[in-house]
Amino acid sequence: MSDAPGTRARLANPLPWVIGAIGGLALFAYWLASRVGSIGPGDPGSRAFGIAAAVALLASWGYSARRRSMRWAPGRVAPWLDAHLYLGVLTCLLVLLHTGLRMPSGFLTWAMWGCTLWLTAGGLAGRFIQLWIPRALTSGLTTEVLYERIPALVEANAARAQAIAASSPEDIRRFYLRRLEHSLAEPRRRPMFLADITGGSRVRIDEFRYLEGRFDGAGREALAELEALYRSKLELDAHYTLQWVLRTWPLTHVPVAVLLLVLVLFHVLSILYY
Amino acid sequence: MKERPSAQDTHLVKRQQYADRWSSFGEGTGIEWISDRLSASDLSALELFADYDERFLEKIAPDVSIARWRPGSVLFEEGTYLDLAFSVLSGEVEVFVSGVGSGSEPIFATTLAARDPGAGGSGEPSQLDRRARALDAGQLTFLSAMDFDLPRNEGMRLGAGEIFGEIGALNGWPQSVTARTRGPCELVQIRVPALRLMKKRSKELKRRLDDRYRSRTLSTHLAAAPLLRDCDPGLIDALTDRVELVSCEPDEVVVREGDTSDAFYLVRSGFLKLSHGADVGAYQVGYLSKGMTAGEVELLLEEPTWRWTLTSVGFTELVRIERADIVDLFRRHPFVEAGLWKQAVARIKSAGYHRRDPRRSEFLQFSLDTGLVEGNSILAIDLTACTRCDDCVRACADLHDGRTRFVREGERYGNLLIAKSCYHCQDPVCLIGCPTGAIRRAQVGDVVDIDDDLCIGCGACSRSCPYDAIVMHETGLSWPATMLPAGLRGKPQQIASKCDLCYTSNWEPACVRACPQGCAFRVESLEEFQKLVTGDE
Repeated sequence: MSDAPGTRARLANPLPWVIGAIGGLALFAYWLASRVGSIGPGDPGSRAFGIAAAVALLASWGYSARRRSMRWAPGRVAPWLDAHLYLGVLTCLLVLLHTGLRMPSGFLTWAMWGCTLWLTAGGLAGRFIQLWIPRALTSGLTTEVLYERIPALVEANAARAQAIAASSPEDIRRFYLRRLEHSLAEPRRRPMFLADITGGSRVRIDEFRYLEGRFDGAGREALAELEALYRSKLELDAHYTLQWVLRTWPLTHVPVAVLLLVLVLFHVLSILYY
Repeated sequence: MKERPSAQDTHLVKRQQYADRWSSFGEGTGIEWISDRLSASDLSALELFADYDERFLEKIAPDVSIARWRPGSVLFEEGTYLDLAFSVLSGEVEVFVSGVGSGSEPIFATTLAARDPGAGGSGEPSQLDRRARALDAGQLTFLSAMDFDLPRNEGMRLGAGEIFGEIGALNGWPQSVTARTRGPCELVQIRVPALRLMKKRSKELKRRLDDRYRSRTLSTHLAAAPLLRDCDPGLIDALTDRVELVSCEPDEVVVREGDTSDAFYLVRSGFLKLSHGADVGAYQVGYLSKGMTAGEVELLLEEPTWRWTLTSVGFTELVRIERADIVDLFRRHPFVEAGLWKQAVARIKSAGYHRRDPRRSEFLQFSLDTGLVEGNSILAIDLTACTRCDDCVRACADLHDGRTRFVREGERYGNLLIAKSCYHCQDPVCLIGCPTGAIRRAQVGDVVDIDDDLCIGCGACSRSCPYDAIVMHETGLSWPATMLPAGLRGKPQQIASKCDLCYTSNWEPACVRACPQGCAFRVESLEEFQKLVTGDE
């Protein structure tokens, strides 16, 4: 399948080149400045990098503002996310240059530096997650389901399985009670899905293959239906796990971003005051 | 054990259901009186139903009523969609084009007034006024041919025994005239399900309705077809007497591959599917929609048999032209043959592509099954990029008073999710039967929109939509005691909502704009979709 229109537009985006050029320029400027003398706290060079870092940080917040302005702002949000990513990396670089490649001293600088590193690394990790998980969900699973619907679907599955088992031969009923009932009962998040999107289903489905040989007619049909429900449950669990990761990741990013903004503001005010 | 309802309870429920079905046309409109459910013997006493047996009449009775209308009442307006045909029992009905006549308000505006007693004197324009203005400004366009061939500002009178409105109702086309009672009138009102059954059962009725179509509309329709547009009008008129009008049920085979090819078909409404191969292993090679033709390849290459099987996708109306007549047309107008050659080459090329690449054929089948062929604007989401953040849904809700107009669910084809959002169909069936005219083309591109001020939440559009694109919302209010239709009085107020492509904002739809991954987009044609799916240019 060819790239969707949005993807094609993204690949043609000049923004990374522009920001890359700015980053290169900053590195060059640092190198030049370091030839003249070292860069440290209070130096004009350091201050310049600090101001640039603050501007880049504020600019990266533009994405958040744009998301909340659908009513009055034209244009698409996607380029703003791209800008946010690149500006975030640029901010980290500029902060590094601002410190003159020195270790932080004092709680505030440690906190700011820690937040900056966390946000940059976490942001890149988040970007990786956003690229990887959708592809895994789409290529590895046959169903597509809304996260909020999963508990209701699992409940319906479980009820159906219970009804089938109740009207099945003894062996199937026993198999259901021992091996399936607990698995089907409620949605589960399992780290295994991060490594294997199918949840190791092949091994689990083998049990059905074994039993199949012992039945015919109605028994086989019941088993086939139970297998279909079980496979469906595995897919729902995969969605439940991976979509949860997608939803939860911002909780590791946004509060720290707010904290960094507050710390930077405090840092700037304290410099101006003192 | 639940108690079985008594015969009387059942009878009362049936009466109520029957009344509700007709309750759009209630008291306070132009209707003085409307019948209770008619019995088979009541119907058989009417000339229109004389040819049908009792059992059949019982079957269609719920969809037939007799109504007595006041003088000067507007039955329907030009450009509206109805699911009704009318037959005059007594009195006279006047039909005209683009007139804003005197007389009582049309049923839609009257219904609006009944909802809000203050609205009548508020100075706000009635729907009739708004439509008249749109017509004058040349903004109102009709989706297809006229079912009355009338010049502007001229009228026509219909008396006892005349049937009208059936062409638009059966084909899902907008009415091309305004109809108004000249004096007190008694009319038989027949809904489309009954009309279809009647036409299928009675050759005489079919002949009568087809004759009417022939005399009123067919020549205009043929002249409007791209193939015959520049032909001599006299020739077109002569052709109208010779063609056969074919009505197809869903999944009806029109011609089979290998059958003798002796005719040419023009699609009046609906869709035909072209397939190749045996029934079990058949694969789709194309489809035909309104205005398109079939049989040109066989005709031009002088092939004795059909290359493909043609099957009706839904209810389809066709014009069948004998080969000899088309050959005669070629002789008189060589440009018609030249035009057909282009179409034939394109058809063979397309069939070849589908045959070589099974994905295309599979996709075509999927498109026909899910209605993508109808769509003018389909919301698709690339699931390989979608992070399931629901920003698209939130943005839609933000722009529409907190109520989202689509759901991020739907059919999946490959990596694409076809969201349950209005397709803005070429022939929107949701427009048919709206009692107030609230759902209509917004006169901006192909946008189909619902006017919240006119919507009474009856749910007809939501039930009609084959793609679950229209959602009924509770408003938290209840309908007043003066509400029309009467069946809604005291009930919770609902309102229909659907995607409107955010046309009032003059920007791209919010769902597309808001997507941070750029994976939500609107596809405007099947060809565009095909390229995305198969990667072909």
